[in-house]
Amino acid sequence: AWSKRPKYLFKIATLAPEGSVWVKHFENFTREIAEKSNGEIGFKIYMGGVMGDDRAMYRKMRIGQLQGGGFTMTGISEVVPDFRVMGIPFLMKTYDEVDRVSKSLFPIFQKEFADNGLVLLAMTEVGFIYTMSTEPMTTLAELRRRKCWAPDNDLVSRAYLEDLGVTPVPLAIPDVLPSLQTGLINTVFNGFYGSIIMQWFTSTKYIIDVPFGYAYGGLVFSKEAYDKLPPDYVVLMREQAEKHFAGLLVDTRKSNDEAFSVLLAKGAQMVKPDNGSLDMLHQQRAVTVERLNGNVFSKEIYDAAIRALEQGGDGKTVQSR
Amino acid sequence: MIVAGWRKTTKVLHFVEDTLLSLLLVVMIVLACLQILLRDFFATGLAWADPLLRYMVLWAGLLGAAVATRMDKHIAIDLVSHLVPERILGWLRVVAHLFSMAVCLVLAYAAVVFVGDEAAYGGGQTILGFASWQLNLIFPMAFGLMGLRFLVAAVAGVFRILQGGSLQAINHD
Amino acid sequence: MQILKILTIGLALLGSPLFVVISALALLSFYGVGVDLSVVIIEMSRLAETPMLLSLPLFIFAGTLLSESRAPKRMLAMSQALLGWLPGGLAVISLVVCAVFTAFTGASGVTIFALGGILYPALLKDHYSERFSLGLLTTSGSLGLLFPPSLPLILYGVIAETRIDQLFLAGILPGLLMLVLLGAYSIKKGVAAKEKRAPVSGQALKALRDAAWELPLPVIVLGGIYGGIFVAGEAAAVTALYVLVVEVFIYRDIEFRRLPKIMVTSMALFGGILVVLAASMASTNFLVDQEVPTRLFELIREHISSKYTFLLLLNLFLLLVGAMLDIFSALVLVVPIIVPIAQGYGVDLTHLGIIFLTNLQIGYCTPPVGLNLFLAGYRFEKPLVQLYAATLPFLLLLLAALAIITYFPWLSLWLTRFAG
Ligand code: NA
Ligand code: NA
Repeated sequence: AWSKRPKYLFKIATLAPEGSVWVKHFENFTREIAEKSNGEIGFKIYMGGVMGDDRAMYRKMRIGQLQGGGFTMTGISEVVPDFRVMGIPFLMKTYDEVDRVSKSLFPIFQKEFADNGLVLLAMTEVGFIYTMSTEPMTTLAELRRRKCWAPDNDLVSRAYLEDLGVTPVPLAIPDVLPSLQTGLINTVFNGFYGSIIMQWFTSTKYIIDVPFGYAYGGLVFSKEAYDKLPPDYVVLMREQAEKHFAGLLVDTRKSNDEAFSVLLAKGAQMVKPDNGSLDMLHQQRAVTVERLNGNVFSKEIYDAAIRALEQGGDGKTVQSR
Repeated sequence: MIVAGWRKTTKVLHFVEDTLLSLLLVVMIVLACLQILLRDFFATGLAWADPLLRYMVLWAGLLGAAVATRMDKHIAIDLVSHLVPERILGWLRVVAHLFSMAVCLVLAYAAVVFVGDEAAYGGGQTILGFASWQLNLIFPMAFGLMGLRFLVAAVAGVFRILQGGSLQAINHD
Repeated sequence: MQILKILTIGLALLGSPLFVVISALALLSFYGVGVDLSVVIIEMSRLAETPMLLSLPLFIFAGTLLSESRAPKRMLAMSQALLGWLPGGLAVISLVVCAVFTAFTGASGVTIFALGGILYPALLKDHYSERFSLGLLTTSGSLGLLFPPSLPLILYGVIAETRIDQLFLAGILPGLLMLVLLGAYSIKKGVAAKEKRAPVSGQALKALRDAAWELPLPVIVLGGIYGGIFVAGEAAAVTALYVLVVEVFIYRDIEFRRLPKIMVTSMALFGGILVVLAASMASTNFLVDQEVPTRLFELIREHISSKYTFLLLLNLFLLLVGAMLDIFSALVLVVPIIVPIAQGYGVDLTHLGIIFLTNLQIGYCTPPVGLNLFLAGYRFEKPLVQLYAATLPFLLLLLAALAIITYFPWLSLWLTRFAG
């Protein structure tokens, strides 16, 4: 749209597909920045994983082929391990809790990204993820008998499932759908919207009525490129990021709500887990966290997350986790 | 003497390559079959097996490519060689080998940079205790080896032209 | 920079390895836009995130073992015993056996060399004309590329990031269509040749028993994948293990001490393919970086609005490519550019893969430089011009099949529905 070459060009890649809610908001964000900077800041967006997965994107940012990326939590946590703390299973149950924790951890995350030569500009979310299966199940014993997927670089979920006595089948996301369809796995985790756009819902009719965890990501720039921006443009980027990515959160949540209705309309069934099993899931989580704390993520970040959770937003302490 | 030493070195190198390749192939077959067995009959599995298998494929392929260089078995588009007289063709082949050497050495250099970066910033990816830079070491090794092989092929080509096809010793490496 | 690139292409024509040429172009291009050269290795390292790749070395190994064994002879004897009574029986047998053999060994010329030598004299003895026999065997050298677990099918899946289990299913009906067309033509010729027909006899049972261990191979590949027992990569491992045990320990066709050499040869073959694939990852990434596919699509879109016109031009283009390049080079160089454009026209990527492979298969037999023509010329000691003429009727039938495959997508996609 701008005839002259932008003075500050950011090449940004993401796994999110064209037309998805994430890409739409990101495009609005870049459009407004280009306008407000009179075309001095420009963006090139590479969608749908054409630049590779999170690991390849990070490597390309390191050598300056890319200046930024929309990363998933599991991918970028290879670089900033503490970033995975909000992905601990059954940590949060409401958007209130999510907002409280992410608001309080965001500055810590930002500092840790900066220590690795990265700028974390905004957080994004997939939303709450649910256990989805081809057969109804209500107990832990049933879960143990299922062939259960785990994202191949999600250390926390994998460790947790192993502690539960479930042997997860680690697969990359593109392999999940074919594996579901051929019966190699029969139990997966995803948000409602994600389940629809990735077509997983066509195989998984039964959804456990308690969110298994929370999936999120971040818009990350390389510090080297970002630091070239003059101060007023830094302010512009931050303000626009706050505006557009707050809007993205609202829209993602709306998409998940709509997707939930769509799933129900298409015959999905919510299954109530058995209470005893639910207690065991929570107890086992404590064991896993104990094992991983100070190892896969730092004790400090875990404590900070717990503190944020326990200061209930409206004064009351949240009882169960 | 030099020729004998050279022969011995290449013989050892070939043996190492061949052994490593055969081992990689056998382990790939066994490990993949074991995964099926564990999953379908014991509802369990080795978490490290699949990512390790993917790197073994990479190692087998790049090592295989080094062997293909030694066997002169690379895929090539050869459209003009039958149009050129024999004598000139010999020299043109030498030029092509030197070009291939140069490209492989640049690739090896790029691979050294990449492995160095991985060692410095690689992050948390490990498989069975191997860090990312170690898993990717095959890139500089394979491209370096291929570069050397193209150099040897070029030198052998020059000798062949000058001496009318003798010097069998370094012909084949 | 441009001069260096032109020089590189000149060196390619002089027979430099294809991976070297593509890598050189990628290195020069990235250097030209100031991106660090290690980007080339970063792209290549992405191959370690490709789970489907595992099936390539393992199927190559299984295919090499099969072609080194007496499996071709056994398959032939069995088919003869089962189909010998048909008019045109031997010709139909040749087609079927070549197709199955090519599916397992890839169209690397093994089919023409291993089977052609047995089939050619047999066809002549059964009073088929020399012209017909040559044409049949030249064409059969690449027949079966569409049947699982053919390597080019897997390679397309890897490059286009399309599900291999679906491609395996998608190839079956189009492959059968080609078999049926060529088979019908052969039967017509067979009636004219008045060959003597072998009745089904006690021999049939013996031949069947002889090949008993190789018969389950297609079932292992397909049944395993669609029965949910393993994924495509693992199917290759099971196939490799099975073939190894059967050929080395049960049939004892291959002595144990020959194994290391066969392993090294097959890995060298795989290595040759892998480096070309790796190099093309890098060159493709340069095109993506410069947003070439998007711009190319917009440009083409301005001139071609209909999907069907696009497919027609695509076919012409691919026939040309197929006549000039071998199948692996053609796939690796052309698929990454065509895939985003075809997606823009709403072409199903699985269907696109079948169109690609059908074209490239035909390219094997098209003058002036189809690989099968050279191989057959060498094997049967016939001048190329004679082979051009002999192949022509078969080529026309294959082109008819191509038209049907292109414009009736359901032929490719119908079976894939059953895999969800
Ligand atoms: Na590619
Ligand atoms: Na060809």
